[in-house]
Amino acid sequence: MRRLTHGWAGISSGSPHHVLAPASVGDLKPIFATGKHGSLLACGLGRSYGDSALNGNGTLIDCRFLNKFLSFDRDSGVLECEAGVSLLEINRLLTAAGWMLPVTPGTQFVTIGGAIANDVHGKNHPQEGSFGTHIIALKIARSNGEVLECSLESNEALFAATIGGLGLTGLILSATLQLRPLKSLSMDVNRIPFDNLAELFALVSRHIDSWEYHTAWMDPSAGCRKGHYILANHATEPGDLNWSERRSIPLGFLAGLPSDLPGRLLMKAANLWYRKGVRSGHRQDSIESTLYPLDRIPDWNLLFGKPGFFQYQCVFPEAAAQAAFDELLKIIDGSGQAVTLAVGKWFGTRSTPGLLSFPLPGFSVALDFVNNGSETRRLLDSLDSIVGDCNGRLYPAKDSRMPSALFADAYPELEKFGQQLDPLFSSDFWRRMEQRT
Amino acid sequence: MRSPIQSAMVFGASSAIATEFCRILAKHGARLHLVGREEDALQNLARDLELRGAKSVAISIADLSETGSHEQLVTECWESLGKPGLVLLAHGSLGAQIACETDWEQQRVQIQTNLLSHLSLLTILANKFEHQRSGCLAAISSVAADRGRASNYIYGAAKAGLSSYLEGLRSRLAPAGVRVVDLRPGPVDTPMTAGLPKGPLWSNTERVARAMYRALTHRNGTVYLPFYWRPIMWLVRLMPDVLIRKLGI
Repeated sequence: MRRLTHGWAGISSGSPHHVLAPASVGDLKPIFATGKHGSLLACGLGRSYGDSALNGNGTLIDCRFLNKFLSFDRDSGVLECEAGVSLLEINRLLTAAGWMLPVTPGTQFVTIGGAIANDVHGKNHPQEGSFGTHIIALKIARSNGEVLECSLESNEALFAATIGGLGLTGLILSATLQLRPLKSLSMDVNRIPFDNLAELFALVSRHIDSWEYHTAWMDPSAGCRKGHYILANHATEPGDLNWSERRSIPLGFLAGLPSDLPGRLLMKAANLWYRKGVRSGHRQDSIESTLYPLDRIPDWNLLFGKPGFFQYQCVFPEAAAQAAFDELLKIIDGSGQAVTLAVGKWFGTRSTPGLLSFPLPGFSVALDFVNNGSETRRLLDSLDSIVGDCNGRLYPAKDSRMPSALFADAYPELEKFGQQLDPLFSSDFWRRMEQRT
Repeated sequence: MRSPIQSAMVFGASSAIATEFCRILAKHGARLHLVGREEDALQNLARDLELRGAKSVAISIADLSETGSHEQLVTECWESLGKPGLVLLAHGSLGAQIACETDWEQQRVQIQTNLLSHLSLLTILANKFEHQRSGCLAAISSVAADRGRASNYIYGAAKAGLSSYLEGLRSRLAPAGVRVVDLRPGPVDTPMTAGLPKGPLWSNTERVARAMYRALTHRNGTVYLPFYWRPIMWLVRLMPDVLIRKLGI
């Protein structure tokens, strides 16, 4: 169940004063024209963890119903669709024609607009770059009533600001993007256990060119220093292309649980499964279970109840990555705070037009923490200094607490971005970042 | 007997439930004729449906509260589809109950949108279908038709009128082999209900559209969407007024 008052992780909250759901582009005109609605922000499927898709006391423009496919070229794989189309719909409809998203985050419950606004990345960043790398053109509605077409050739500045622009440059109406050809829905997966970080980083440098998808599952019970390095490639043999729906487990009725115990147990079970239940070595698996392991439980975040959880996702530049990550883990070890899930990904050098895009060439880790209030926040504050010292950065899509100074330091194009802001658009995240500390 | 719907005319096609329903028809390769108010929205929807496999998609732009255009629209449809297997009336608006309570003009507009325009269309369509002697005529009513409630009795009254009309029409057209289906969705997460708080009984457009498709391939009569609204509304109808007021339903 999608909540408009809380971020995905349940930490940030902010009730919108109005929620408007345009059924078509025409419905936007009155929203922009009256100016009665306060600050505006588009929202989609509610997977932003923190406050970047919240607009407390302002207006949320629910874009889920702007979800039409506009054109698809079966020969070139170029798709044009409205911004509310979900990645799931694209997979459902277009894998059968032999095409798939070139970059996909760990869930399909994301709209195209959200994927662009956060310039999301996947496990194949070293090869394919981020989502914005594959965007050919965008159509953006500005609050002054203009509808602008932009791309690398026209309105380039707005194009670059909108990719990764957190929805602050206006409302993304539609996008044209390049899909990748697909021969089969199955994947070759390889899992290699590692016993320390040095081993992990050595494995990665050995395999980075021969495999497309790279992740590391790190075992919280071993201080996140052991785990599995998971590599995957799309199968090259032609195979079945019909997207089969998996049954999902509905948990919407659990909204508002008083405790986060069910969530902690779920993550314990997931980690135990990885530690004991999954065999290392080569095997065939489906795209769904390889790329979207948690999509079978669409509302898993509700298991963390009212306390919610923190996710800390940062990226370390390549040269400093191993040492900085080791230092990060040492601080966590000494803090007594529990990590419930730890996943590592690698970013390559393929560039994106996005001014505020998160990926930097290097190593990115996403760490989930139990919410123990100020103790956890203090720990995360101390992690910030390590990230800042090595010129790393935090991911706004996951953030509900980063200091605005760290944001300003880590995103050097911020000023250029500011010139493209739509004056009527804002978010809780943005207002937090504007408060200089 | 279940039979796939091969051709359909949909009034109010860009409403969220109708859109999702048209997508199912498109997947089955149906021929479609869509009617709506906004040209851009309808054209985008037509492109979406063609991409999903619709055999053909025609569109007509019209404001359905102007009943003068109805005859022409129905003629256009019969021209583009031949004998349509299904005609669905899906247009309507929730309206602002509070504003309507003190403003007759607004109330009249709401009754016009949610009832009179339907009756005008049904008058024309009933005769067409009676003559055609096959097919299915369906309209989206609401669970609000089952009992007047303080919070939305104007919308409810329009839907109740529509439901009664369909009930009678069903009996009239039964001898001609034409089905008349009264679709009563409970609250659904759509643009129409964007501002309302959502509870556990709420449904989404995909689920409602799937249930609608299943029902419209073979059923006749009143269909609750999703099914659990039938027992709920049965209970609600049995409740004495005093209890309804106490519970604030």
